[in-house]
Amino acid sequence: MSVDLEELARRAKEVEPAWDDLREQRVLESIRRAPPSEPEAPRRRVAWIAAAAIVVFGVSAGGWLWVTGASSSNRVAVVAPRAPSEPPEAARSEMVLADGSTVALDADARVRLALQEPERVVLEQERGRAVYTVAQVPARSFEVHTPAAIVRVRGTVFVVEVDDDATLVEVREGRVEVEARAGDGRRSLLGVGDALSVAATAETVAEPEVGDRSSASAVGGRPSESAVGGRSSASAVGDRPSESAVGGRSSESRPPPPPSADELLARADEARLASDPARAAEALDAFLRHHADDGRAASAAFTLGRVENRRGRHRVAARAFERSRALSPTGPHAEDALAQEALAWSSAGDIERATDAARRYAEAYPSGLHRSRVQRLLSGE
Amino acid sequence: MTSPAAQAEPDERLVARLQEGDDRALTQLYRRHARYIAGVARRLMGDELELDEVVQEAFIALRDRAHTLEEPGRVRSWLVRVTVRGATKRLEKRRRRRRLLAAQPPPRTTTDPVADHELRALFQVLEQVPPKLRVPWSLHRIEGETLPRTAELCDISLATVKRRIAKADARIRAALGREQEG
Repeated sequence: MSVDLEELARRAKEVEPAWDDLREQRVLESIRRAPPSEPEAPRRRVAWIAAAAIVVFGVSAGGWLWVTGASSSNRVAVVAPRAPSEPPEAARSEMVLADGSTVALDADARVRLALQEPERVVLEQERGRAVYTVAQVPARSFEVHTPAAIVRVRGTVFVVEVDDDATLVEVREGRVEVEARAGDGRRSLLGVGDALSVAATAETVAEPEVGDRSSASAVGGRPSESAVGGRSSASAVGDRPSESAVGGRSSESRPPPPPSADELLARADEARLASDPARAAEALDAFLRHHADDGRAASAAFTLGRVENRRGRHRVAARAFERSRALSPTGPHAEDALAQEALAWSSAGDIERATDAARRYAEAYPSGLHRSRVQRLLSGE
Repeated sequence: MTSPAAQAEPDERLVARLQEGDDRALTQLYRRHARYIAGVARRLMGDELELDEVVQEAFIALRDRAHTLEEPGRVRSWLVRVTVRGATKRLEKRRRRRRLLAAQPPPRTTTDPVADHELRALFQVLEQVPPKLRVPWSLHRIEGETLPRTAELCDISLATVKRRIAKADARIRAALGREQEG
């Protein structure tokens, strides 16, 4: 079938951004606040390339390279901010391994690549929080060793957080097996939404705060003796499971992995275009539940707030605006989000919260774009 | 909003004022050209994820390098050139990042859904086209820039620009054709 590309390009010329007065003013304010730009220094570029070459070589060679999340350091493999809107203090560093797996490190994280071979990759995480996105490579095992546990994966996304007393593992996609180092080396199989805290001593505790729906299957019989309340119920495993047990029985009771971030955003876009705010809200909500670490989360939360406002669900909208700001306190939506939060609380009839948000807005943005509306809230008009 | 007086004052004069350090001239130039520049950036980038940053960078460059403008009357053209460079850099960065991250699908935004399915397909296909082909193609085919002007904006020769546009044409047609058949 032939494509009339010229006609399509002509129509593309009509695509315009959502550039309204508010956005125009916001960008202008950013320009006014921006410090003078410096001419690009060739020396810096050369230095950056050299540093990148060294660290990429270090990672691909599988050497004993410590990588920390402190983004000011050039010791990381590939330094890539998560999103342009994120504040510098929240910026992460990212390790990219030869097989395409990535490790996003929080500023306090310390991870080293201990072994990188075609059939086995081992990383050691000494402290801090890191998000692992593991490429699916058949017949290659991928392990993260912490002081308290060994986490083995196939292809998945999971978070490992290490502190002095315990290691917390939270699974976002796929499944992982966690083996406690202390005691009898019990193993737990975690699925999507599950979280498990492995104490540095012989105790294993399911983490009630994380994990929203699924539960890990008990493999090998003995249920966890220390699982605590809450929705997550990852259970400890008595005996070392065979590979077939890990791959087979456990997956039957587990819900399918959540849709990808792009898929959910596409659904939200389509629903908004179809004037279906309920479906848009559902997709955005799912995006925020499953992909809260995505660089677009603050923008999605802001959009959710707007959608919920349109649905007349002002309380939910206020929460969404609050979340948008929390996700990106200095991002492009931050100011609007705080003002919208105040207005949404007001519409929901929660005067106390509305006043509180309005007051915070007035303090943070004394000459902000919404100051007159916010001022009206404060004066009780 | 733009005042009638500001509308009447030619770009040349505003640039001269800016060169003398008058910040209000920058505001007036921004009010006059920002929307147009945002449109160019939006179509070049295919989405609005980094739109504010690209526009911001163009006007910061104007503020800081106004003294280098050889033809102050063609400030919009100068801004487009800066925008093309900024957008190209960001597209290249995205592409590098996608390759490093095992070819993840292109990012989507929650703020700029394009209603037209065919156009959406076009922008998705453009995500797969290398920026060195995509940018000249977009400037010539979408923005309607002439070939010599496209070559100038991309800092490449006329022969190269022709070759790259032809290559992009072929790739885009093939990809869209596959999409229609699929």
